[in-house]
Amino acid sequence: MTRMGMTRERAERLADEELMPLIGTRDPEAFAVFYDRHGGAAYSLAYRIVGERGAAEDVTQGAFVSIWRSGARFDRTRGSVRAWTLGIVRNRAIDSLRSRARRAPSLDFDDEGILERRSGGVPTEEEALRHETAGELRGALGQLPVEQSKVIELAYFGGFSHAEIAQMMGLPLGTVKGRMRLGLEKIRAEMAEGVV
Amino acid sequence: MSETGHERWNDEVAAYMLGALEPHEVEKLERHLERCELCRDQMRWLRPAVGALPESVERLGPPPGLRDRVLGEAEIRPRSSAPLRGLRGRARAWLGGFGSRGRGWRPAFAAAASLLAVGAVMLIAFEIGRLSGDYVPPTSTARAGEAPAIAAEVVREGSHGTLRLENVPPLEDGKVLEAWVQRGKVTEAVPALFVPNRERRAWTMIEGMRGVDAVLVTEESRGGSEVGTPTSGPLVRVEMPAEES
Repeated sequence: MTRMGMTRERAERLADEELMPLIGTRDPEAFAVFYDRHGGAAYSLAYRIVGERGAAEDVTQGAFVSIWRSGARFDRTRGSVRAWTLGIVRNRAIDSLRSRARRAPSLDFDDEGILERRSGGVPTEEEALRHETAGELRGALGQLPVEQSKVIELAYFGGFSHAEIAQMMGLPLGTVKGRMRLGLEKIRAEMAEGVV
Repeated sequence: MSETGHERWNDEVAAYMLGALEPHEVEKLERHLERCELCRDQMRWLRPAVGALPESVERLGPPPGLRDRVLGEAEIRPRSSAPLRGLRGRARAWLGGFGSRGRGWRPAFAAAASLLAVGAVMLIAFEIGRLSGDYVPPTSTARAGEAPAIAAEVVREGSHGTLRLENVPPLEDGKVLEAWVQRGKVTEAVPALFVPNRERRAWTMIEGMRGVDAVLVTEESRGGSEVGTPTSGPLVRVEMPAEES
């Protein structure tokens, strides 16, 4: 355990994967750089899911604190640091959403509300590059047939199980899962082709 | 397994990666993944697509105060078990009555106790906690002369806990909140440093809730108490009910 050594400048030169072991040794500078790189995306994702600023802040804070407290147990075999971090944020946001709702989704649930929920904040300049990429990815999602993008968004951003989605949309279970697969495969194929 | 069969499993993999499977289905799929290289390959192939989903979100600038609160956690000084044992002794002395060093937060604690005696304690049930199976009735203690009182709750989840505060007054510059747990007469730093947000709410996680009789929160200088014990009167004291055996 140490609080010495790493300067901000040096930490900024490190890749995410190199920062993780340092965060594991409770290096505050490494943690600060890690937050500065991913805090914006984490907050944006949390807000997209919970739809409320206070709750989004709580989710983001909880995710980063859990990473700090747990010693950043990152497993590089399961993807990038950023994807791992945003996965933690997503899970916490869904938990927050569920704990606030405390009820199973009803048949008259307005799924359009989830799909249309959009941010009201101001994008930062420093994230312009990622923003551009995000715009392309939104384009990829937008290019999916609506029946595929809808089940993907309800699952990923709404936290609904395939059974709940099937009930809401009046579809067989297998159809929902099939649409999820087709949608993901299409996004993946476009990424592989460099479209995204 | 036939290709058709694997198409079915591929559907399961996609739903799994989107977090859309029911728990019993997750268990079944994970058992299958252990022995199926094809499905593991499919999962590896799709992982970037799932990873792209959060990147598709409209980007917001996070509130500036959020950074301070998150990084406030990184100000925690590491405390080894040996110093903690030493702290226990100091904590006992500190809590053991009015000794020769009768300054510090004990007078404030006595004042708070008086407030309790005259019924100035507010019990505020947070909706989320009330609906939770592990809900712990909160007790908040107001500072003398200040209103409204800080509302507090601790939700114990197994060996961990979450402490939430509302109506926290603005902290002085350079000050943070520090959480403490009390077991019998021994008070230990959690350690957890945190600050309230714009809505005057604050929260932190508490690890090691076993045997905790009360959770306290004090206002400390940035970085936390240098002496390992609270240096100011508790803003909040939450009495924990006995744990079920």
